[in-house]
Amino acid sequence: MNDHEKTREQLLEEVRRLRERVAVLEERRPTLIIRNDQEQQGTLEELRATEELNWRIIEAVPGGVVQVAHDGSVIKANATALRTIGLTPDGKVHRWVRDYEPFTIWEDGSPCPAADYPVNRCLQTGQPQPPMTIGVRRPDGQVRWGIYSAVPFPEVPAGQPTGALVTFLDITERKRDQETLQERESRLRLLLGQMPAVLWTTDFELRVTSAVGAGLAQLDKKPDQDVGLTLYEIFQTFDPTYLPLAAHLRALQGESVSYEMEFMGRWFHSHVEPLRAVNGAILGCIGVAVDFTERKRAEEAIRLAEEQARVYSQRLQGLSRRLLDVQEQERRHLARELHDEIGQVLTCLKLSLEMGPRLGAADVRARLGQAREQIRELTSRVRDLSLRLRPTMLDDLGLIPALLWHFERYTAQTQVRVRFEHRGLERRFPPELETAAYRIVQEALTNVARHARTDEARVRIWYDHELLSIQVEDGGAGFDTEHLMSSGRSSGLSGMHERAQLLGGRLTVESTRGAGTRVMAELPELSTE
Amino acid sequence: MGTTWKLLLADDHRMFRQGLRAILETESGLEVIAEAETGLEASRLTERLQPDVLILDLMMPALNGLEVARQVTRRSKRTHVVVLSMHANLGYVVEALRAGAGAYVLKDASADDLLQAIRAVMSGKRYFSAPISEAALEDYQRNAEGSPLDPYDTLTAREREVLHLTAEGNSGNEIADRLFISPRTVESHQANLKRKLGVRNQKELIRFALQHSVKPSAP
Repeated sequence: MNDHEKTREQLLEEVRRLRERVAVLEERRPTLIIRNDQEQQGTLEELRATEELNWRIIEAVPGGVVQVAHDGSVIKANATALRTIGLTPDGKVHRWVRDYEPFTIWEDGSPCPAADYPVNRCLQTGQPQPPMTIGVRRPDGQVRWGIYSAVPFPEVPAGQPTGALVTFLDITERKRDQETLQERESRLRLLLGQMPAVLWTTDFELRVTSAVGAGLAQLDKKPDQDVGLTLYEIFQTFDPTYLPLAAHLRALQGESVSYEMEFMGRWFHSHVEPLRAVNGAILGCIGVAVDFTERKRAEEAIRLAEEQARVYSQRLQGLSRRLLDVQEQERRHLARELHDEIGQVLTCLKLSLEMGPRLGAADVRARLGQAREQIRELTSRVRDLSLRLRPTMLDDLGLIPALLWHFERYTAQTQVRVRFEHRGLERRFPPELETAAYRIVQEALTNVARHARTDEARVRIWYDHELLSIQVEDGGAGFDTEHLMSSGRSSGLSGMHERAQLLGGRLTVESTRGAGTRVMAELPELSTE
Repeated sequence: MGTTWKLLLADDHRMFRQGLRAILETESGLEVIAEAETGLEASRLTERLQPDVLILDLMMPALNGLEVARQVTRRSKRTHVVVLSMHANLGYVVEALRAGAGAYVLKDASADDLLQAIRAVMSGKRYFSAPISEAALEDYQRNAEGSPLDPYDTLTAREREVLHLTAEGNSGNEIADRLFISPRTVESHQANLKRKLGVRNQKELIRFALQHSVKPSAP
């Protein structure tokens, strides 16, 4: 309807409404415009100062701050944010938040979609978002990690759309350090898990604060089992001179100490040092102990074996020397006998046979008769010498004939009668056995003649259960066996011992002063080789 | 003496053999049909030629004289063995006789001795050079038997102690305490005792001990 058609009332109403609207507008204007230039200037300056302060604060914050508009465009970013996520070639942040999508990843390395960004959620929901760790790959390939959170900004009445303020903390270095630490820890764990070692720390009162290592298993302890106990409790002593305690006390004073110790049956190479704070102050001790029990035992065993070897070597030398000695003795004896017994008769024989031309037939016959006699004597002596060295009866006939022969000569020489008792000897035995038995009896009887001051000896030999037993007994003077052993003169006694031992048997000598002596030997028939 | 006796000489000493042959061949009625230098040869030749008498040296290489005598007496029944030896030891004589020899002549005896020996064995008798004699041999055999061996004498001092304590009725533990040894050692001694004395159980052990109670308990 145009103005011609309107009534006067309608037109007045319109004017009235217009006037109201103008009045309203005029009411508002004063807040923005009514101020004079100076006031306007002051207000603007205040604003500018406040804004500057705000942004100073934002720049100084050790984190990134980005203001994002409701449509997802980036309005402003502080210097830290630029450094971290300024990905454009000229180092600026992307225009749109969604431009970051190709470059963002979660901690597990999978891509992080833009929809999941705290900022986008915040824009969507209008709610503040909890922090999330997101990684941003930079053009140089490096990933910067940050903990991102977002809050709505500016504040508006509920329901109204608004932008967001993103804050993030760059944790790239921290993450790297964590990873390095983890790697080091797992290396250490591997090392400790494989080596039989114990690694521990204590506080200043020597209370254990940690204890790990495979070495603990040998001590029947679990990792950190002793945490809370003091070393005094663990070692059950307060003695400060006790090696491990002394070492720890010195470590607390700043020294590094190495020592060896035995604990619960295991041997350890230990090393303890002061545990220092970052400022160098000593907080306690840190120590490591390596279990070298096996090696020590091996070393012990080697040492013992070497010791034994030395003893055996000495014995061997001793025996060799004795052997040579005995050989020389025998030869000397033989040489003398040959000289004394044979030599003399030969000389006589030579004289007998020196026939001069002056001798008559009768004299010659007489001389020849003498010579024949001397030859017979000689033959007999040679035979005797030979038998004495080793009776052929022993090889040809066996123990009984050989012993009987020996007893006959022995009694003739020494006036000591021999009573012979035997059982089970009607057979031959291995030559070494028969020889050993013969020699033992021979030696024992020699001793009887030499020391016992008696006129009878008893020789008993019996074979039973594969054992040849020999006994030579007298009721004579007896002797102090201890004394004879230590005086070292009894090579005859030890010779008998050796014979018995070499055959896997044994020999004992019982003797009592005034009551007699008894030599007993047991020789197994089967060789113990 | 119509027949000639056939002899086989076995000795490893050639000169001796030749000397012996010379002596023997001066005798009528004796003929040396072969000589052997080793025991093996002696045995083979004797078996093959079957002489009346084998004159055998005990000490020969390869096969010892005693073994030859054993083989010969088995394989050649008609041959009489006369052993020649340097050894006057009666042990050898006994062994030689056991091996089947009929005579034992000493090498340093006279030729006459050997001839006597040959004549003796051919008439089925034994012969020995002096001083070997039957009497001496009997003596030797008796000596060789020795005196009876009393098992009690074969016990060690410790074993005797255990024996007497057992006979007195002590238990193993009591004996162990008395002797300051372990019960196991006592058991071991008792086992040895049973073995040495040839008894089977405790009862027999005690009986034996009682039989010997007159003996002093320690040397």
